[in-house]
This record gives sequence, structure tokens and C-alpha cells, in this order.
Amino acid sequence: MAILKGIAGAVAGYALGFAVVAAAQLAMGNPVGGAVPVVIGSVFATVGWLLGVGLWRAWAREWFGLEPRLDVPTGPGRYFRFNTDHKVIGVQYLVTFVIVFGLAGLLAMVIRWELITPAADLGGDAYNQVMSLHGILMVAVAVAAVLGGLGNYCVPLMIGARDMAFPRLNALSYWLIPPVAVLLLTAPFVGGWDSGWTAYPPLSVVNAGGQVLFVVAIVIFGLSSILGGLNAIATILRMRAPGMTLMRMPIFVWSVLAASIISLLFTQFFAASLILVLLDRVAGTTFFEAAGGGNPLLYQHLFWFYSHPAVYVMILPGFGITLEVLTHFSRKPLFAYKGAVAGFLGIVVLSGIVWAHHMFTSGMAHFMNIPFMALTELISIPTGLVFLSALGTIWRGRLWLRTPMLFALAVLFNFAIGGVTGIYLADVATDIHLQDTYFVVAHFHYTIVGGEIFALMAGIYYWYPKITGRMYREGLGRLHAVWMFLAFQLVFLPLFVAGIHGMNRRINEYVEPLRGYNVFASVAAFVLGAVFLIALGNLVWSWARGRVAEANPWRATTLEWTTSSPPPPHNFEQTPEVVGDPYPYGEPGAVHVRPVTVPTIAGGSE
Amino acid sequence: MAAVTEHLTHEHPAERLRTNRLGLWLFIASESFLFAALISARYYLLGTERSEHLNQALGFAISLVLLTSSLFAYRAETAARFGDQRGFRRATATTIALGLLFMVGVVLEWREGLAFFPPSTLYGSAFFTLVGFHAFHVFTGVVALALLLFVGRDGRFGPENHWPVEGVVKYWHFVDVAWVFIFPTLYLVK
Amino acid sequence: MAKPETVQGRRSAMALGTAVFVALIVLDAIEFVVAQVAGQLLLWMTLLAIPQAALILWFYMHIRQLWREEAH
Repeated sequence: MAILKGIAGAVAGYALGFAVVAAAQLAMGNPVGGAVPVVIGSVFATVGWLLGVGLWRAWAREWFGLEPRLDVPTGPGRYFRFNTDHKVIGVQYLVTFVIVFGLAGLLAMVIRWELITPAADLGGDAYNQVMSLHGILMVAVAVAAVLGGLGNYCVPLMIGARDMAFPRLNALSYWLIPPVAVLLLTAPFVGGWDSGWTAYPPLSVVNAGGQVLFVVAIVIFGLSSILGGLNAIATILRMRAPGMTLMRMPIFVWSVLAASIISLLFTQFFAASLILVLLDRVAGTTFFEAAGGGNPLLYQHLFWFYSHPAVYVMILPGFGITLEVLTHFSRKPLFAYKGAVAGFLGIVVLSGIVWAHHMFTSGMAHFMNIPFMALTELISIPTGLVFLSALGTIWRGRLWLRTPMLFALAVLFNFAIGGVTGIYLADVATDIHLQDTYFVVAHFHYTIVGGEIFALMAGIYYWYPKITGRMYREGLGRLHAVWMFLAFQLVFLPLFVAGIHGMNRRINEYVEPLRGYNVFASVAAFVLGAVFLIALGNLVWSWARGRVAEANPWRATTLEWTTSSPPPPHNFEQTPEVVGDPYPYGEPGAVHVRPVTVPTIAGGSE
Repeated sequence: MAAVTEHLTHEHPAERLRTNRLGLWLFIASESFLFAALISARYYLLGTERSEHLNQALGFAISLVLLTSSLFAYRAETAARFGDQRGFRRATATTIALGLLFMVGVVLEWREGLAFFPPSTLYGSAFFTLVGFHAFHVFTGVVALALLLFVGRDGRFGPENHWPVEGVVKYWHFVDVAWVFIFPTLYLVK
Repeated sequence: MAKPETVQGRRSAMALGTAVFVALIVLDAIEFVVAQVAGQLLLWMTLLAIPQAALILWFYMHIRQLWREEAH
């Protein structure tokens, strides 16, 4: 019902926005049409959608002095409306982005199918659009699935809060996502866009009209990401339970804080760079038009000033999940907790001053090469701290090799490869050869898929009993972990070699000698893709029929495991009191939370 | 007004106020990165070069208008915090009027500018984008102030309930701070 | 909040606002004049814009409330 109202609002908003611009065009004696009414229509449609779907009822009424109406729905219907419960929003994010992940994964299969042969089977234009859509959808998954999904669900539970700091803003952040999806998926019908997810001008200023929808979609997505980051920071700084000092927070919470700082601040640069592209297209400005005195390199600077830090938005929460799982499943306190925190914060600081390592071959001034190379390689120091923490934790631990742990161990292996190969891309001398080859593709898939997505899987299995109240099938989970790990290596290891031999990224044809690597990688990719069918079957079936899980199936120490599975609407029957470090394994008498001794009457949480 | 959120998060009103403030400051920090991006684009493309046809006097005049509006925004907030309804209404209305006057100045400036440095020139690109983004922020601020005036007509803002006023006024001041950097960037440096 | 203090407190708050405003106007005017006569303008303009921004952040936006409780 709420969704129908949202759709009605979107249609009305689009019509209104389009009409206003068309009227203005008529008044000025210009021909009606072009990109401007579509842009304004899309923005109005997004506002209309939000108001219809619940923003008006729950929030905007207040701005006009009316009483807001906030109902707390129950049952499955609660997932399909403007709901302020962070647990509902977390599930909304997770399910949405699992679907997006599946869609983008299918596009990856199309890419690998095209690349089995050296010839162009699919056609260059179609391939470019498939590759671009795969890129941006996966970037969206990587940015939002862990932070928006698991971050939303787990952070308030882990710090003993009832909800996020701004529950309605949280709902708003989620409901901004559907317009993004609609815009991205309708773009192919107006010519699509073929610029890759990076959308470099001059191409992005002159190509088909789908690029305009891409720009609007990403600006909206950026807004969602900024508001989500804002909410997470405020929640972590302001909503912690009594006794939960910053240095007693579970490490995942620290990683969400660090990643949120980046998405709060740097996302504005992506929005700004795309808006400048839009202005060049529709308002006749000349930022990137060399003939008018502009400079396309400006785009790359603005874009990478966000988009390099963005990879830490992706990987930091992945590190957080990995450390979290490693410590619980090694039954040891997290090694060098402070070092890991320092590593996260060090990465945040350095992330803002390394962007130009993406531009060594772009033609920027040569004097910038060496400083950016050195700064980039400095990042291995805070990253090394995180690895130190991980390895020190499993060292002589009693490893409990359940599914989450298998994924977490895989992250260490994968990210080590992704990190080491990154050195060749940070070094100017080798990067000039490797730039825009499959070596880069393999490198960032090892860091983001091998790091973050494996960590996302670890997190999904780890918190699955908490979120659903049921247990997944352990055997199928382990099969997923082992299969995905092996197939992943088989896909991307050969691509490093293909890249060294000069296989270009983003191009659907290649020379005959590279065929062997590609056939191998494509077959392995289909095998990798198949495992997600098993995983999905396991997770969906178990949610409906799985064994009922107890409150703390892992016998873990952090706060989310002290409440029921799934937790009650306000998370805790009684405000928890934190008295010690988060991982007091093997320390006699030490506890993280003061045990609840006197059972209280429900609702007495004042 | 914030009762809904207090209910959802179970915070004491004083604690809620501090959380709201933090949230707004984080938003302001984020927005300042947006203006930083646009200002750095201007310097990246043009260095300190600027058009000879700028009306510096007009730019200075609208700067003074905006600074004056900040004084009245401050007075509106102070009045609301001390429960002075008449003072709150008068100062808010004055702030709105000054905000509109600023926008009139921008329109005059644009009419002149379009002739000398249209958006198809590099300086025009930087000028119209930066001023346009800022003027849009002024516009949203005026809308928010007008809503405050409308909602507060029943005297609901007072010592116990001044966050909505405080929040909008802080945003208004931020828009002023942005102009403090945009004005020299576009009109003065050379 | 005690009532007699309220009038006092309000007056001094309003006076503070006016004083800050005068300082802002003066700085802005200096900035404008310097821009007509001096060279090295990027440096000068930055040096003159920062105190204006600081005055607004500190006195008008009460940035210290972020780390300190409200005084009254």
C-alpha cells in the first residue's frame, strides 16, 4: 500500500517536474524537450516517491506543524513500508542488495561469455553497456550492502542502543535506493551509457542520453550514502550503552565508524564531479570541454578524490567483520585491538591523499607521480596493522572452522594477494605498463570481492541466526565457502597473467594468444556463479524451515548475542551495562556485559 | 517536534538536543566538502584569473546583505531561546527578507554576467555553477525559515523547544560561511 | 532558568550578536579594500576570510556546544 502511494507520488512528481520545465521552455521560446525536463522530472519523481512511501506521514507533516503519524507495523508487511526500526531497515538493505548482487553477477556471466572467444560476439556497444552496468551495480553493492545492511542491523545491537540516532533519516536513506535502481535500469531504453562506472569525460559529455539518468541516479545514491554515514557516526558517538567506552566497542563498530567518516565527507566529490558533467551536457558549461578552455583531467581529480576513498568504504567494514569473526572463532581476545583501531583511522586519513595514483598515465603533471606513489604505499602500514591484528588473533587460537570462520580466513588469503599486487599498481614504473589491463581488474576483484564480499558472506552467515532466528545448514554453508574460495582463485589468478601480457580491460576483443587464459577464467566464472544458487537456496530455505536458533549459538561475548534471536522491537529488555572489553575469552572472571540478575517486567527499560 | 525521535530512541530531551546538533554538524561538514570541490575546480581550471567585467561593488553589496541576514538569524534564535515570540517573528521575517534581497542581487548579477561571461566560457562555467549552487542553498534556507515562521505562529518555539529554530539558523549561518569563501574566490582574487 | 536572569542573558546575547556583526562587516570591508589595492590576493583573501568564518562558527553557530554543555 505504501509502495503504491510511493509510485503514485513518483508519477505525479515526474509529471509536475516535466511540466514546470516544459512551461519554462515554452515561455522562453525554446523547443520543449531535451534532457532538462527529464532531469528535473526525475528529481521531482524521487521527492514524490519519498513523500508517498511514508516520508510525508512519518516526518514531513512535522515541518508544517502537523502531528506526524508513526505506526509500528508487524508481520512481513513491515518490510515493505517506511519503517524506522534499524533491524527492518538492515534486512531491507540486505535483501535489496543481494538481489542487485545477483543481477550484476548475471551481467558478469555475460561478460565472461563474450570473452570466451577473441572475436566480438556481443557487439561493442552492447558489451560496453553490460560492462558499465555490471560495474556500477557492483560498486553500489560494495558501498551499501555491508554498511547499510549489516551495519544498520548490528551496530545499534552491538553498542546497546535501542535504534539508530536518527531512525527516520535511516528509513529515508533506504527508500532513496529504489529510484536509483529504476533510473539505472531504465537507462538502457534511452540509449544506455557506455562510459564504464567511472564516467570519464569527454565521452560522458557526448554519449547517449542514458548517461543523464546515470548521473541523476548516482547523485541520489550518493545522498543516501552520505545520510547513512551521518547516521552511523551520530549513532556510534551518541547512542552507546552505559559503560560502552569507545575502546570497549566491538571492532566491527570501529570499522563502520571509519568507513562512515569517508562516505559522509568524500561522497560529495563524486556528486560534484557528476553534476559538472551534467551541467556540461545540459547547461552549456565548459568544465571538461578542451575547446572551451576546460580540462577533462579535472573530472578525474574530483572523481578519484571520492572514488579512491570509496574502496575503503567498501573494505573497512569488511576488515571489521573479518576481525570480529576471527576473534570469536579463535576463542581469543582480539590481538592488538588498539593497533587495528589505529589502522582503520590511519586508512581514513591516508585515503584522502592518494587519489592520483589512478592517473599516472592520464597526462597530469609528472611532478605529482612520485609523491602519490609514496603516499599510496604508506597505506600498507595501517593495513599491515589490521593484518597484524588478524594474524595475532588466530595465532595459537582454538580455531572453530564453521562457515563464517572459513570465509574470514579466505579474506586474509585473498586480501594478501590483492594487497601485494596493488604495490605494482602504485609504483609508477610498473603501473605505466599495467594501467587499464586485466591485472588491474584482477587486483581490485581480489581486494573488493576477495576481501569485502567474502567478509559480507562471513557476516551474513555469522549473524544469520540473530537476524532470522533460525540456523542455516552448516554443511551447505561450508560447501559454499570452500567452493567459492577455490572457484574465485581460478577465475582471477589467470587474469593477472593475461593482464601482464597486455589484455585490455573494458574491451570485448583480444588477440588470439590470450584465448587460453580467457577460456579458463570464463569456465571458472560459471562455476563460481553456480555456487550462489546453492547459497541462496540454503539461506532462503533455512529462513522458512531451518532449525530454530538460540539467542547465542556461537557462545560469543558481544552485546548482540545477549538478546533474543531475532531481537525484540527495542533490542533489549533492559538497558545493558558494559563493564569490560568486548572479547574476554580465556580471562577468568572477565565479562563484557554485566549479567542481568533480576528479571524485569517487559517495557521497564526506562 | 522531536518527540517522535525521542520516543524511538528513548533519549532524554537534553541528550536528544545534543544528538541533533551533532547530526547537523556532520551534515554541515559534508556540505562543506561539496563547496570545497567546486571552489577547487575553479582554481584548478582558472588559477586566480577572473573576468574583468565582474561587478565587484554588487558582489560586495550582496555580501553585506548576507552577513546582515546572519545577524538577524542569530537574533531570531536568541529570541526563541528566551521565549520572546514577537522578537522571534520579527527577526525571522527580516532574515527571510534579506535572503530574498540577496537572491535579487544574484539575479541582477546574472543578467549582467550572462552578457559578458556566459556559461560557455570557462570563467562563466565556474561563476554560474558556484553562485548557482550557493543560491540554491540560500533558497532552501529561505523556504525553511518561512516554514519556521508559519509553524511558530502559535508560539510553540520557546526555551523548551528551540531545536527547529536553532537547526535552521545554524544551516543559514553555514550558507553564510560558504559565501565568505565564495565571494573572494569569484569576485576578489586575482 | 531564573526569570530575572533571562532578561539580562538575552540582552547580553543580543549585544554579543551585534558586536560580532560589526566585526564581520569591518573584516569584509577590509577584504574588499585590500582586493582593490594589494597583490598576492589569494593569500590575503584567505587570511581575511578565515577570521570571518571563525567568528560565525564560534559565536553564531556555537560550535563549542559540540564538546561542551550549554552554558545557561
